[in-house]
Amino acid sequence: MSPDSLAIELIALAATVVAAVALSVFWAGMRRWLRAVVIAACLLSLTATTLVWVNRQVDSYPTWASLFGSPADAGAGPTQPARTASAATAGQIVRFTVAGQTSGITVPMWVYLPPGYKDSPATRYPVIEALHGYPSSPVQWLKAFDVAAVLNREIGSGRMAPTVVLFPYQTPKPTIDTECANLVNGPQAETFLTVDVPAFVRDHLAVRTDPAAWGLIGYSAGGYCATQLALRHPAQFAAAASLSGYATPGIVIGNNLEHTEYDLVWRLKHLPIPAVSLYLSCAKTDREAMRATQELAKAAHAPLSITLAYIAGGGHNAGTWEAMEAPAFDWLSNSLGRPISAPAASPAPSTIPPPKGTLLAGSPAPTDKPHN
Amino acid sequence: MSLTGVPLFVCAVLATAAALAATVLVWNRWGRLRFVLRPFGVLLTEALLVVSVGLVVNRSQQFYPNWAALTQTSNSTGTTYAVHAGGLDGWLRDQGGDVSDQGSAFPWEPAGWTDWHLAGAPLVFTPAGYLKHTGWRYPTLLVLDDGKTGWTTQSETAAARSAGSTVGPAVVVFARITSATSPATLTSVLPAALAHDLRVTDRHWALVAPAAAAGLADKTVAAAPGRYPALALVKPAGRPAAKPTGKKPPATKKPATKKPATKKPATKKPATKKPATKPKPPSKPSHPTKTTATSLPAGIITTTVVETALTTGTTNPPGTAGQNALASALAWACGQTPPPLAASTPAATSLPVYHSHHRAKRPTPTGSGAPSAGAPRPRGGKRVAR
Repeated sequence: MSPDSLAIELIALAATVVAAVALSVFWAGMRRWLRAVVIAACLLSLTATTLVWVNRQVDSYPTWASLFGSPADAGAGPTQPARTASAATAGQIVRFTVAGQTSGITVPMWVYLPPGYKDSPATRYPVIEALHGYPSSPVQWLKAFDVAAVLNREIGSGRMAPTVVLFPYQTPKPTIDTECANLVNGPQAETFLTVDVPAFVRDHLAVRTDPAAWGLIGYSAGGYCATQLALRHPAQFAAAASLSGYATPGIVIGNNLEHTEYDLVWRLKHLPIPAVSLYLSCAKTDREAMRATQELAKAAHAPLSITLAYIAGGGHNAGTWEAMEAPAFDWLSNSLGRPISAPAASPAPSTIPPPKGTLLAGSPAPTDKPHN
Repeated sequence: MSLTGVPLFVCAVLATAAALAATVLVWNRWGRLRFVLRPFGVLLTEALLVVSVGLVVNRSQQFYPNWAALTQTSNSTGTTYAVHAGGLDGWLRDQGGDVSDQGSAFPWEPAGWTDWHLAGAPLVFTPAGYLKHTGWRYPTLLVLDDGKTGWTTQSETAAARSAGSTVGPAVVVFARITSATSPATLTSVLPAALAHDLRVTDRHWALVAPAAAAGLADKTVAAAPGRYPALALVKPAGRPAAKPTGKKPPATKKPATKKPATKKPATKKPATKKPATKPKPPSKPSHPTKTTATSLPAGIITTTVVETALTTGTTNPPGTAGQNALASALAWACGQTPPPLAASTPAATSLPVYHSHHRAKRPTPTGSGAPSAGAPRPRGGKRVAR
């Protein structure tokens, strides 16, 4: 029973009703202090119900450990027995814990392994880092957007190449909004995502390590992250897709950096523009993201390639991003290098171990959620 | 009333206040009925309070900008766009198709190619499976051949075949450039003609050029980095003094009488092949590192495939070594491109359909790259292809 489960929501709701009824029925018999206590209980249970509902929307705290424990606790999530179901048509979601050597950040990371990953040990796959919003967590990709099913469908239909997709935390604490930047005197999220995660993936998964095969995707704050990381690290990423992303971090990074090199419009106007591809998508009704997207598109010029995709209707919410994700993943796959075979002479094929992470979902069946 | 407007918010606050007041008023009245009215009033007040707070948050963050957004469905599946057959697909099929299933090459003479300042019609290679997978669009590798490389039609075809079998399918175009060939031809005119005639993608191709043509190659990449984000240069063998600065190395051009060389040279690759990001890796320590690549923006991926004297001189006949380098360069370039894919799930604006207004729509079975029995067989149109 995780903090984002329906059961917790119903328990909180029941507590709210019980508190209200208790206040009403026993009012006459209660002393004054007891009335105050019950009124406080009413408000507390109401707040709890609301917060649980919000958490169910954004999955900021997918587990109790992430709520009470240390940052996005490594022990998060109940482990399910590994499935040996056929991986021919369905990818798998595997959970790792990435201990960042350079950044010092240690958080869980979920990984989507495409269909056939286990059966072709010599193949090196392209990689997409998928970033989450704030407040949120990678679990929103897995649950609310049902990303495994979307990827299975796109890959299975030939619209997308088999790709390893990473879902890392981009913050050591759910309450800290890093915007994937290296905060001055704060978490070094940018280092974690651009140094530690790639190093971990190189060591543990059969992936391509050259920049042509690395892409980024993200929604909301993660959309800013994807654009920001692609513009700042063109030697590592070839393309990025931003779903309702912004052009500025909207937080204080320190040293005024949020107004200069982390402000993407400023960056495009004042610093050399790299030859990367960007896909900017947002709902026309999402005013702030729309304004940011248009400013970016206006400031961008060659060698930057920009593809714009506006959605009529929608907003800044999970339903909109769910509608955006399949075209964005397809576009990314069309912008990245293909899966290749490792050179036969290289010792690499035998050194790539089978993933040791916790296998959480062997198929996209709706009951196969990573939690609950 | 707007979901994010002030009027709705004011209404919600007033309703909350009214509910609270009503609850207080009925608290000690209505006899036994009050035990129903009291909790009802408390819960209604609480609910309206939450709604009011929610409206404030939604107003500031614009999660749901209007009422329709609340009820939207996000089902984006079910529609895809058809991949339109290339203008030469039918002609290729009529030629007997890809009989040996190894891919086939033909001289390509699209309308107006004589204005491209080429030394001859480009050689186009369609990979194995091209005619089978009518729902796929293929990335393209453009090879610049300045006529001084010693490459022949046979060796080029064999190199393309080799890259196709080791890395994966891609359309390969060998353009016989001259000193008058302009980058614009390579960045827009030729790609547009190719998109008309074959099922090719519209970006993320790769460019392969002999080191002697690095000047034109760099200009082409710089002019269209979205189309050519990757560049492989092939250096001739046994010329350690040759500088890759756009100068033509002297006398590399023995026509290299060579055999078709149908065997795959993929088993042995030049050891110096390595990808790098911005600066082209100096292939040999003694080389000056200054190349024209310094003008290329970050994000362009380049490599240099060098024919080492060791592998060329001793064991292999002269032509085979050059072909190895070309095959290696093609294999590397192929790996930088996406695999052939079915048309993407459409976004709002980016339609991956070519020439939808030029010809009748020929929807292919969407959502699958599987070969279709009733594949469209468009005629070759005005294109002349021998």
